[in-house]
Amino acid sequence: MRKNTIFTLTILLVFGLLTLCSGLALAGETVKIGFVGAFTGPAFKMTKDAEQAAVLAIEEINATGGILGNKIEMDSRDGGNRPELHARLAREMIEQEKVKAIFGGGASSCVLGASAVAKELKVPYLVSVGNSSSIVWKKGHHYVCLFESNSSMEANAWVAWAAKQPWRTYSWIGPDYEWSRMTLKAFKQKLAARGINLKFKKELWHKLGETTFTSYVPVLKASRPEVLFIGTWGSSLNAFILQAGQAGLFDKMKAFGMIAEDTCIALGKKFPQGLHGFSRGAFNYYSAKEAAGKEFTDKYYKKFNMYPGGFSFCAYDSVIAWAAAVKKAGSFDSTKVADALRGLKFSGPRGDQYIRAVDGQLNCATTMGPLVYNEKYGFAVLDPATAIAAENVWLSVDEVKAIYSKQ
Amino acid sequence: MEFSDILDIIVGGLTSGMLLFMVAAGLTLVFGVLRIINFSHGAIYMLAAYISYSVMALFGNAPNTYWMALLIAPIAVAVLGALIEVFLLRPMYNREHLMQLLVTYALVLVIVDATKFLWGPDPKMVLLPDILSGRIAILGATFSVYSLVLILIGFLTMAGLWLFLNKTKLGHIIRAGAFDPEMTEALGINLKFIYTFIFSLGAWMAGLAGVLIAPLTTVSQGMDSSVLLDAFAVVVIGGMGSIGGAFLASILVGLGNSFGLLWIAGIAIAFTFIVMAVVLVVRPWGLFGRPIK
Amino acid sequence: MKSNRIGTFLPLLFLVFLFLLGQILPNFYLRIIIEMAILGLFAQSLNLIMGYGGMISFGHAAFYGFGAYAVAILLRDTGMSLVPAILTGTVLTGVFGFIVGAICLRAAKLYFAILTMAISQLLFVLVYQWYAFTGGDNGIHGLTVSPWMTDPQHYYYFVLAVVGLCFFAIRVILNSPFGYTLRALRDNQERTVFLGAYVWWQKLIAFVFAAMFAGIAGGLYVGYDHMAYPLLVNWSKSAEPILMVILGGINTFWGALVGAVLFVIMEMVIGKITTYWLFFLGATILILVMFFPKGIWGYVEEKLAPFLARER
Repeated sequence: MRKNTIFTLTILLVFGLLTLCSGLALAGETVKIGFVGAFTGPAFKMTKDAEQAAVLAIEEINATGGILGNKIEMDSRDGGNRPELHARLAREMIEQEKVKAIFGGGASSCVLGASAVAKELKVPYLVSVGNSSSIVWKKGHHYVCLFESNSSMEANAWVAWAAKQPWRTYSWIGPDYEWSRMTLKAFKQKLAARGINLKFKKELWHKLGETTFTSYVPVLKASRPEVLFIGTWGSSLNAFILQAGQAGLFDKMKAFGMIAEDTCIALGKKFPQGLHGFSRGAFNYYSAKEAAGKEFTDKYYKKFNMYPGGFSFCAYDSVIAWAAAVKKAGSFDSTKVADALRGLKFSGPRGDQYIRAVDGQLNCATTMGPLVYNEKYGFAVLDPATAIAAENVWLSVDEVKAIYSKQ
Repeated sequence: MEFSDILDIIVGGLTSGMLLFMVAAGLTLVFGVLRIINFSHGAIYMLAAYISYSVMALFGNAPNTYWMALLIAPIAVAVLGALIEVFLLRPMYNREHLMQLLVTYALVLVIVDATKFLWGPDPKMVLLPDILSGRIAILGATFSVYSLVLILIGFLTMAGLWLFLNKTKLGHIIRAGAFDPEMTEALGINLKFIYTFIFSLGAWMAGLAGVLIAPLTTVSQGMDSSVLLDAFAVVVIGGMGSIGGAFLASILVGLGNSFGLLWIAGIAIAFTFIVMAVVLVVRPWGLFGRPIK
Repeated sequence: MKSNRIGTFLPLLFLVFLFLLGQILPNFYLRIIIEMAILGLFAQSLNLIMGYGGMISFGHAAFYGFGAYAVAILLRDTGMSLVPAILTGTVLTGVFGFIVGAICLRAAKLYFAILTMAISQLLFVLVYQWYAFTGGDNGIHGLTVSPWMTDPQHYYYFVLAVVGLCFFAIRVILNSPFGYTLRALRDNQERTVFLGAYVWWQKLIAFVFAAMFAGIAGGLYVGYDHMAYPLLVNWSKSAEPILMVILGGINTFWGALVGAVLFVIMEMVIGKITTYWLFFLGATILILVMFFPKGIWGYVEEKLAPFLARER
């Protein structure tokens, strides 16, 4: 007993010393970057999609001699769903491990937590998961860049898309939290501004992470809209589609919403017909459109034996954009790189893109369209996909400046 | 709103109620007999769902292998449950309640991360056998066959547990053990075995619930905590340790949620917790629990 | 208690040591110590009712989170500065603790644990949903605190002073007749009642104290990270102080603090090695509970006891 205790104490002491010493370790020729993600909880799949793409990007960079003659090394940490942990890990990696940039993300609150640290310590934070518009607008700052369309842009993309559809009576189901509340509100307002008045017959909100929808489906069926707008995502969405499909909901109404690759892949053949979805980076669309898109998809498939998700595209872009910014700045100095990121033009799997100078938002398109089962892939994909350009849906430079001046 | 819609909504509410009950029953059973709040119940439920996926994959992933999964996965976690009871919980019975809570809480962390490590990030699909995946029209409403089967299973579980606890010798012993452990042991009954059996049965029920819900969702991270809190709420409303209470509370919550969604969609999400709050203020020991000082 | 001289001398020496650390350590380490101190106070506030009062609360984060949100909202909406905000927040948390305690203390033991958990979950749902007031799921971010307080070194001394005072206050409470009644209630309720103690009120007062100290910890947290978010109120947050108390040693005064220190170190060290760090946390708890039920500090205290006794 006594020996055991002493042993444990020693271990803990050694661990403690290790932490203290790790700060002193020198980096040598490799340059470190950090990836803080949500490897625990419902966003695990998205985070892994993003992390894998980042790993792939770094491998490619290192295979071609690194950046400015330096090899890049990425360290991943799990911040779970905890904003303070994301913040603390970002700080630890910046201050102790001297990482030159932070990648990844998670729930919006987590991104906002880490973003405040990036701002304070003046280190670029290149977000690829988590897309509240607050990240670049209300709480935006010089060191943060967002590599997916933010929530406001996505809502506007849906507006542009829905305006072309014949439906006028809607029902809605979505998780009860700010992002989907804002999305629905903006959706209604923007369509009304275009002179299209929708009638919402039923709006149902479920808790985040809900997987039992048997109470929700009959109520939606009874509301008899022309179309159902689905704001649900992740495993909740998988559950909803399966349960609604079994109860015959999709025979009675059309449906569209935040249905991305992860759900299509997970449900495979079970995916019902007649649904419309969207993507932050539809691999089939970009492989057909861009040579770089095809190359990325093939490489990703070869390495991980799966197709890249939307977040894979975002994270891959974030790494190559950072690499391009370092080259442009001619140094790893974080402020110079942050300066270089603003207004940076680069070319990635999604084609030629740029980061807007005013807010650090990438001009990525939102792709949407009908989801059709594809024999070759073994799951449904957007077919045909329609891309809605960022320029049509984001706030103008003046509008963004107005938000900043209010802060 | 037609009659068939109302019928549909009632069936939907009952289905979700029964799914909840399947989880809550094991939780409240273990509490009733062992006086342990088993935080790992949700993790065991998730583990069984993952195991059912692997069992089906092992047998070629055909829909009909679901029956194999339904048989094997709950038994697998029941064995795990027995091992947990014997090696981790048994040494704790003489210690404070807190230590038992901590053991089950630590198990959540261990089991959840183990499933993450073993099965990876991708959500797993568990297919339903053809016979269960159809739809059936009754009185103008269309129901999924599986929904009706789940409701049936819920009622059978309740009936089975009642018969077992009230009409069998083992059931009498279990109830005696729950009521007065010292006296029961004094009568020469081996409570150790009873405790292992009950914890294992609880795990088996969590496993059964996990396998039953698997085809309705994709098996993925986070499914444990999402269900556990609702199940806890049901157990608290019904009265800790009362299986009948959990059953009625599940139906109340299930139907209440359905009609809440229909009439007052805005607050339906908090419905369970509002009921819980009211019950806690009026009867802190739950609808069918006994006040213990 | 066995040796008053050493008992007061050592903590003072420790304070001097911490003061010197504030002069030499870089900000990064100061922040870690700040976090340890805040969590230590949070754990100690739970230890007051759990270790000394025998009341297992699984919803203690309700008070930590309540204090944090109170301070965050006061900072955001009233332009109050941090110190008055924390004071106001503490009083509000005390009131909230009184209400919660009055409800929960109608039940005992495990029922009490479940009730506290249920109520903290209710608060979580409320905080999570009430966009206009609590910021909903995103929480409240980017709060501004006076520039003096934003400097980690200054905030380090501030936290040190507040946490030190709170520990002193808790010590005084525990060594008062009230503290001894509390312990007596834990060990043998019937007998203590027989001696004429008002059980319910005694427990409620202890509960309110615990809530207030947790509220102070929550307020200090907001001053440190400048944000509040729903997870502060969640049941997973309630588990943290329990783990810390067990890690350090239940039924000891310094165990909670030692546990908080170890918890933060473990989280950092294991998290650095693997993203599966929760597995190792779980395994550590299992090993501790099975083989070292008295916790790390409990063990140290046991070994030190003969020396302390000799000094006396």
